[in-house]
Amino acid sequence: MRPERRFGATGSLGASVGVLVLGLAAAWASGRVLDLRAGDLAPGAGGWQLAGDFFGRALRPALAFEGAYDGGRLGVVLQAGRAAVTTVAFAAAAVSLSLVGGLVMGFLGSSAWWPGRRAAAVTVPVRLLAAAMRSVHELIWAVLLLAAFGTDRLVAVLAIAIPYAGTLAKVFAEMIDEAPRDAAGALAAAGASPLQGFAVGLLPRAVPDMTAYAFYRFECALRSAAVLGFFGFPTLGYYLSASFENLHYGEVWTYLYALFVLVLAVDAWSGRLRREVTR
Amino acid sequence: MITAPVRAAGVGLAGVSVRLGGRPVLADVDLEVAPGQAVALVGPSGAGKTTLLRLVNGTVRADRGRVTVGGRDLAALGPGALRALRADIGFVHQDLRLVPNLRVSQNVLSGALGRRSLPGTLRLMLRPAAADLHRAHRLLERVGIPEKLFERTDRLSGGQAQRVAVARALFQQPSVLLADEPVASVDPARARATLALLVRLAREEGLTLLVSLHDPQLVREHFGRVVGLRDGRVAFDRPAAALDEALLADLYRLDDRDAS
Repeated sequence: MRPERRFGATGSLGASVGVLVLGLAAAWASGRVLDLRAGDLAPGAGGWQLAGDFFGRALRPALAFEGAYDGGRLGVVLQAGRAAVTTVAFAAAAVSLSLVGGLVMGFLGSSAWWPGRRAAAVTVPVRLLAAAMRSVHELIWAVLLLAAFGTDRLVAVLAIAIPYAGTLAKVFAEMIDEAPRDAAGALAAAGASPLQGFAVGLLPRAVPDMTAYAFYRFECALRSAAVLGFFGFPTLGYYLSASFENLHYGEVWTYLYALFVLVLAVDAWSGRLRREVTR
Repeated sequence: MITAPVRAAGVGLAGVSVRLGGRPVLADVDLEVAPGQAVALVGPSGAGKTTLLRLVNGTVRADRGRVTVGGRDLAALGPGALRALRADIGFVHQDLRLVPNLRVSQNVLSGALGRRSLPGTLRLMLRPAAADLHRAHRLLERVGIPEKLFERTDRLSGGQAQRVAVARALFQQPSVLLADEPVASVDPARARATLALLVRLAREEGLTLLVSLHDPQLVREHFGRVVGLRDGRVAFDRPAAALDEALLADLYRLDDRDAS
């Protein structure tokens, strides 16, 4: 059994005050380093004009294309729909791949999986690899992979999947290590192997949290896939940036709302699935 | 009533001493339990009751002396043989140690893991054979909650969950059943019912039964033999009927250092 960490009432209060003071000090120090001044944010007349034009279209998103291109009365909506499907496809492919990597590395990186002291020989290298994968942002992965392979669609999928696998590995390993080990211990005392105890006594208790987190990462992947459109992949970001550059703000809002609907849909879906898992 | 052939294994401790974290927990303990016998362990907290039970299934090793189950010396067993022996010993923990978000059936079936391969484990948990499921259901019938077979375990009351823990230990088809303070955290009526259940099931299955508990009334009602532990030593070992107040007062007396 692992000993539980406990803080006395005064200890945790002292820690909270300390964190607060540290946070304020860090805010002041970083403000000095970056030379931040609230006044700098005040836009010029042109800036106000642009902001007004843009946000003025928030309640009037475009249905048809605003430019010369004629795609019918619902041209933008259809375009947004197609781009949304592509975005979901990119996100789904990337998350599926990252789940495979994240599960394997998460298991290998959790100390509950390895009995005894040999654990560190495996968990430490695995955790370092996972840290390396996630310390590079998906946009930077995209830049690197684009330079090597060009705009193949697999590049976008891998650019998302690599850092996400690193993040999933870290979080899965922590969830597995934090699951109570009492039932696994009881099964081992009744003759089960460490692997059996892990699979039956420990893993089921981590699975609901792992499922919920995987869905959250899918939501993140939708945003990442949309942003990768800026590099030319046909996701929502591609059309969004094109419309923005052409000052077609109504179209921009249509694409933004499409992204919003996607995220809401994933949220509703994961909520329903989580209730199934925890029922 | 079901009569089963006696398949019990005897349990023997000879001159056993255990130190945990540098502290002596058991000192020179001798105890011989015949196959099929039911023995109550009494004694104050920290007397070594739990350690004694854990010696029997090999989760604690003796520093000195010999622990035997069914005539086999635990110290002489390799890891594989020790696991095989553990599969033959059921243990009901005070805090149950069930998996809360699995179904009752899965918790009961998990008792058999010691005798299953890894693929067999997956099958047992995900698509159990009809015979296994049937046996789990019959065990739940015998502990009085057959209708809970497919319930999620964390939906059960404390008393029902305790019965699941008993059913899991019996699904192992053990020859020795150990129970560590199974009635320490339940009300008196439930305590009486649980002990009656354990003793009855052990008799029906022909199991050797070792139970640690505190209540002398329950000891006299359900057991033939009682062993008193104090400071890691056997203070007395006699028929339960001979358990009187003077004996208990001496066993549970507070040391001067405890009282001060």
